[in-house]
Amino acid sequence: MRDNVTEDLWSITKEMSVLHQENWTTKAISRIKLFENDLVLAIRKAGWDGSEEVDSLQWTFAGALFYSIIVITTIGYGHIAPKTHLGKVTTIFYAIVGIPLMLLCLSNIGDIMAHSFRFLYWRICCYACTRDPKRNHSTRRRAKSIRISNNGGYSDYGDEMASNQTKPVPIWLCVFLVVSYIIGGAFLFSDWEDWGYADSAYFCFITLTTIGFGDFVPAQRVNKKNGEMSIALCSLYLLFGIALLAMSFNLVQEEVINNVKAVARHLGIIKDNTIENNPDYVE
Amino acid sequence: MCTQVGVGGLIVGYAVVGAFGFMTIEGTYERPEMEKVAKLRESTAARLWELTDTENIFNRTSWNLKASAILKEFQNSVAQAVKVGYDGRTVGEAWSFPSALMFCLSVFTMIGYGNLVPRTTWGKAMTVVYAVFGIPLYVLYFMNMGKVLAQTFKWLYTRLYLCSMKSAGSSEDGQPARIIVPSTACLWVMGAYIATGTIMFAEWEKWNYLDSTYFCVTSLCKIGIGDFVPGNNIMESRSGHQTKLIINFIYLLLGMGLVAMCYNLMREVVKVKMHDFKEDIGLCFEDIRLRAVACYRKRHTTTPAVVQH
Repeated sequence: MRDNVTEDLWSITKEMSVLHQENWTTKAISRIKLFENDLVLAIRKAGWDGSEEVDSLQWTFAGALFYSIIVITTIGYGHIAPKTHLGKVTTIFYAIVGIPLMLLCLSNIGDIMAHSFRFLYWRICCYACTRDPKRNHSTRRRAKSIRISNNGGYSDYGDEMASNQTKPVPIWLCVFLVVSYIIGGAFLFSDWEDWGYADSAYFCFITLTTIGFGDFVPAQRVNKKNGEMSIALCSLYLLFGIALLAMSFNLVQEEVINNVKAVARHLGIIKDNTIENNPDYVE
Repeated sequence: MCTQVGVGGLIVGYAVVGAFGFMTIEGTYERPEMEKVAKLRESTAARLWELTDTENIFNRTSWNLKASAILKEFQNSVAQAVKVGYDGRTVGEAWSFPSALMFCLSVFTMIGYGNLVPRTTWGKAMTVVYAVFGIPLYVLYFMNMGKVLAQTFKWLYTRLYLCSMKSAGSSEDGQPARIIVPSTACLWVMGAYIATGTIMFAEWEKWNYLDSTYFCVTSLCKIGIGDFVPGNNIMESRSGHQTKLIINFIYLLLGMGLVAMCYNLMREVVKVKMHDFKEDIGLCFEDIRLRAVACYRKRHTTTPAVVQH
């Protein structure tokens, strides 16, 4: 491609036998702009990454492991993508098998972690404010049964608020845990990758919600020596973080869903008056 | 039923509001890379001019060599700029309304293609806030949609099943009221949906079928690798084929609903199967245990007899 450009420039030079700087420069600039567009296309589409030699870190064992983790956790940064047909087919099947497996694993881990966390919280709570966990539990169950017995209309909204307070682990603690995890990750990555704090926090958030834009990816700098170490660290951070998210989701699941439902119902009522008489669906 | 429609409307409204918000936040920002690349281009041209000026005797080979060296330098710096995020489009072109809508969708569905990312600090902060509120909303939509679609699909399947039974002649009135939709039916629906998407995108985007399938699967699995994004073709988005993005938006939202439906239906089947499997395993273990006990007992009773002999 570059040779082509040189040829073209040569021909431009030749055809303007009278060398006039202004004209020549404008023509050369337009040709270079074309060349640049071609380059951008090549980089974006064909996946050529700017360096003339094959990149060393992309498909080493560590990089490939990172790629498979990114696929099955559905993050999908896109900094590495399969280029061959076989690779794409394999990715499809790998995802179809791997994602349910990962979900199953996560829900199990989340369950276990939630149980242990709840237990821990009870113990601490016992020491701190001498509340009886058993009574707590039983009231919660009673509240739940009440809630189940009359579902529909507005009456369960009040019950929701009542059961909120008797739930063993409050929402704010889980939110606090996740936020502190993100902030901790931000410090870690800003130290490790020389990003700003805001960028690191943004990266952690985007990663843990499994959005994964891929504008910041760890261990992508060319002059990185300990790239594998960084990849391993990132994978650990990621897996543990997702498990943590699963745990906190498990803990606050019901309340959050009910709250969101209530909010949605409110908004729906504002939007459309016909819903008002329809009680919410019973599952 | 109304609440489900309400949630769907809510999510579309949320996406539209987000699209306008991000357009206003990101659209006003001029990227430094644009100027840098333009400057680079000019300086390269100037250097080439200098080269032509100094090499007064037109020696073709040496001129070629030197020019190619300069161009290579230029190429490397462009590659650097692309890594930082330059993609040859101005901000106004990048953050048009359909692509902003696509960006919002990719945020709250957790797909995250990454072909379009916020560059400003405000844009990043807004993305975080937007995701915090958007994701629970999306999850709600996912669950509701899954329930509604599953009910509809089950009803349809039951109707079809009964019809086929009647037409076959074997009119058994003692039908069980509860018919579990087999998981293969879900898989067929999913496969058909993916195939539709494949053909659609292959026609529009001039991808081959494999790439198109790959795109559909990675999108519906919420991976969103982002090496293929519809409408991302630079030439195409300049000439303005942006209705595709909106259709893609609808395709993805519906597809997510279908995935939720399959999840809902399959869960039942899988639960039943897991239960059976557990029972099977339990029976198997019981059997092995009984056998082992029997074997042990036999040996225990026979060995003393042998000794006595």
